[in-house]
Amino acid sequence: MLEASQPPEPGHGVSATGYSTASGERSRWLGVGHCTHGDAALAGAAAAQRALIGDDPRLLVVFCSERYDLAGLATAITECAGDDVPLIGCSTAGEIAGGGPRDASVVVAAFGGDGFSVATRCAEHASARLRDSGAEAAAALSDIEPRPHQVLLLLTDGLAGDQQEIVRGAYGVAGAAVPLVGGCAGDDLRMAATHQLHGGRVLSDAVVAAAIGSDAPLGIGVRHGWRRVGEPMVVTGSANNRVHTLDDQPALDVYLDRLAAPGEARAEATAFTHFALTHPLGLSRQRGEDQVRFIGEADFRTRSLGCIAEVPRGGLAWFMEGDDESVMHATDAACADALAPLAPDPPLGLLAFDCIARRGVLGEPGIRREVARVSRCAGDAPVAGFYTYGEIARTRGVSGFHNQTLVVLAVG
Amino acid sequence: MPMSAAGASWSTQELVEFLELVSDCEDEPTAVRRAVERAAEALDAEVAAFVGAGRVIASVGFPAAEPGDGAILRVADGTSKQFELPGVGLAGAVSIPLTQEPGSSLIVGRRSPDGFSAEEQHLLRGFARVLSQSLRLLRVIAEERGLRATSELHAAENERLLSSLRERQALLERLSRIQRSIVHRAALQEVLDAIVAGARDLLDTAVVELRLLDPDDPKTMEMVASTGVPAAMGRQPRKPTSDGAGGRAILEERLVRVDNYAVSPLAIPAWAADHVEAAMAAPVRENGSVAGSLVVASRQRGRSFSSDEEEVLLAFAEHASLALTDARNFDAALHQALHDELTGLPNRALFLDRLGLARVRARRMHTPLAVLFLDLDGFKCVNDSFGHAAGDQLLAVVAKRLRECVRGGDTAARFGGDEFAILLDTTPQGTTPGAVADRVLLALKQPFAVSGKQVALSASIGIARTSGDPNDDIMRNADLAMYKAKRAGKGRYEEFEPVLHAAVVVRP
Repeated sequence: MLEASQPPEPGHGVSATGYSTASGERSRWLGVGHCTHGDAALAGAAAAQRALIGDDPRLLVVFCSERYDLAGLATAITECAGDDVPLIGCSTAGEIAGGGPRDASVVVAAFGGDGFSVATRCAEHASARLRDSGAEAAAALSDIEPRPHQVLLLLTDGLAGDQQEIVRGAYGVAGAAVPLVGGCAGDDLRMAATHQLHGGRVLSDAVVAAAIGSDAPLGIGVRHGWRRVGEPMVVTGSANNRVHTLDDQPALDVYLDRLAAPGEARAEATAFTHFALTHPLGLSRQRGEDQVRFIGEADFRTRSLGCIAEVPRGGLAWFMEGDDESVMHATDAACADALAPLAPDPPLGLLAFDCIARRGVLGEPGIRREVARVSRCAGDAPVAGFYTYGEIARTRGVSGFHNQTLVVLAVG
Repeated sequence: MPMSAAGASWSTQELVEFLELVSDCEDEPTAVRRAVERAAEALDAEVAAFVGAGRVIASVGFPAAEPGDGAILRVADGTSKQFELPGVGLAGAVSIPLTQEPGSSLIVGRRSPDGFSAEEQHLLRGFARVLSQSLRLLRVIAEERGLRATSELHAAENERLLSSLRERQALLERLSRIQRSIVHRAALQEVLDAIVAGARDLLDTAVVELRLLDPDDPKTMEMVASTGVPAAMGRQPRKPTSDGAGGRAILEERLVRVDNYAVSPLAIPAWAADHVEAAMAAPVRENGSVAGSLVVASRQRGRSFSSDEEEVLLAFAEHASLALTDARNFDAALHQALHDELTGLPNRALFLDRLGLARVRARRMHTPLAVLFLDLDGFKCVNDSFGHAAGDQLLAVVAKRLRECVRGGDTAARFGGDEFAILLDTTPQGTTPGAVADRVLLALKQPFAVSGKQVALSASIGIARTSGDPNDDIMRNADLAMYKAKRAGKGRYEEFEPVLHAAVVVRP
């Protein structure tokens, strides 16, 4: 506990907010701590300490930069909260807290009080068994005490393969009664490896899940704010996450030409990924917004596109675009949707899973405004979240995997 | 749930996706599982299941702890029309039997007060039919593999299965070729011809005809594709909708089978006289409503069609429906992408595309070409005084008048806001762009009725012609001329002169 009690150095933003309430005889609280200190142990302890605003912590959710010594970070947090407090977390492409979005920092959200019942699980080697790993992680639901409201929080490795399969696996166990929420871990857009935390362990290629039962409602909002550009195309050749041809032409060529992509994106992987961030693929759906697919990479040799989830052959697709206004509008709408089931009560806190692509559209000043808007919606309650490689939100139907969206979980 | 044009296009796409998905499966359990999931995803349903031989083979959406088999079976046997989903509430359910798989059904349940629309149920029936065919094929393949492995004693059985397998494979291959040509946007006629040829080959019938209701006169059907219909059988291009098995299939919206043709009340005399022994007709739909029928007939003595053959005809009719719906929706989507929603005029993209083509043609044919660029005067005041709705109403009337001022070969387009453009592709003797501009100015001078008031409006028009220089920016030239007209007092037109380029023109 030595590191934990050490005061964080001045100049390294440490922020904390928390909110608690008692419903009947049982109490609930949610606290968020954020620290930008470069030392893993120090930053982890400081953020955890700030998040632990009450007695009886039930769950720690950690979002952190890949730049930290993750083992050291996890150890510092568990030492601060106690080994027996369940912990899940992941590396990110940017962290979100009430004070604003950051890189190279750690955010800890702590859920506490006997009004919550929590259990966590992890499933490793996910890429080889996507569906089973989703099911295995979702089995955490069988370990919690019955509460009127439940949610399954999932953090996955966005680079492991078709994420929709993981969500299908989780849905198979959870069923229609339990909403699913969460996001895919990131690695600051290096697209090399992401990490998941479970207890004090640091994993990769894993799914970690927290089943949360609560006495009060939990609301989920999911919006993207993108719109179609140009004419529709038919996905004429695709296998799982790879799109080979659009309208019978090599998909990469159609993509680059239709969008008049800059020269560097035509030859260089990193430049392509940066360009693709703000130019996703949209799949037509019967109800609600089009489904958006994040194009993560291109194969310059086979001229194909790699997405984060399945793009079914035979379907109609559009290229999509968004701007500051449409993306911000989606922010407000997602928060309002999440808060609606809690009304008239204010939330204890909000968790935000925001696609890295939205960060690409809004730019740095834009994401500061976006996080400020989320915080405004939260009122006095704290906000924690991260920039993701894919978002999970299933409240109706069976489809629960999204790209380029903002998912907000409001904890009542 | 009301279905928009986009919704109808949705159902076609979903069926194509489903066909592709199920055809890719290599074994029965995978096909069933993926079909169940896809059905739930397509209909935004919380739960879905497949029931076969009185037991739940696959389901999605029921928690692992409470699999819900009892509730699923009650929906399957028709004793219940809803699911009680723990923690969610009541979900309306629909169960679609697989006609070729007795005791089997595809079930979906959704938490929605509206239930499932007719179009959604139609899509589910399409899913069920595709699944049924795929399951039978997969089973034959599995049996054939098993037999080959066990013994040669079953040679006869083996041969029967192999021939059945070959038939099924031929059907699936044929259907998949048709699907591909639909997805790849082959010309509609080509797809319909392929469907007619496929039905002829796989059902071994001499006569096939595909007729569609005439949209202007639904009492008659037009022949759109056919094979083997001789003059003796009355190969007329149009016939009354009430005629024969094809007409009955349209009226009753179901498959109609006629054995012993000569004595059937549905017999067409010319067909009976031409020794038709048996016929079958299946309805063809467009966006879910019946649009025509696919008819097959055989002259083979004593021939009657089996239930297997009914399925084959239904499959081809289903594909004809897909092709028709898809062609219509693609046209609609294309139209939507290239036209201004408010006025129905071509949009900027379509205008520039037509301009590009016209310039190529003008260079080749050495014909002149002109563009009129038009900006309404005083439109902002209308918007500010009467509101945007009134402004929109006025723009629609302006568009109508512009359309009346141009000939068929010319293009009037809305560029956005209160800007319009007219492309005079070729200027015949006697007509000058100036004359067209005068016509437009006169047409716009007539007062407009907006929110019960008479509003006067005018326009400033800039005219630019091709000069023979391929690098000429004719749109910019027209724009510059339009500003000259604005500065010269509005309500008039000006022609572009190269000297305008020299003056720095700043938009007010």
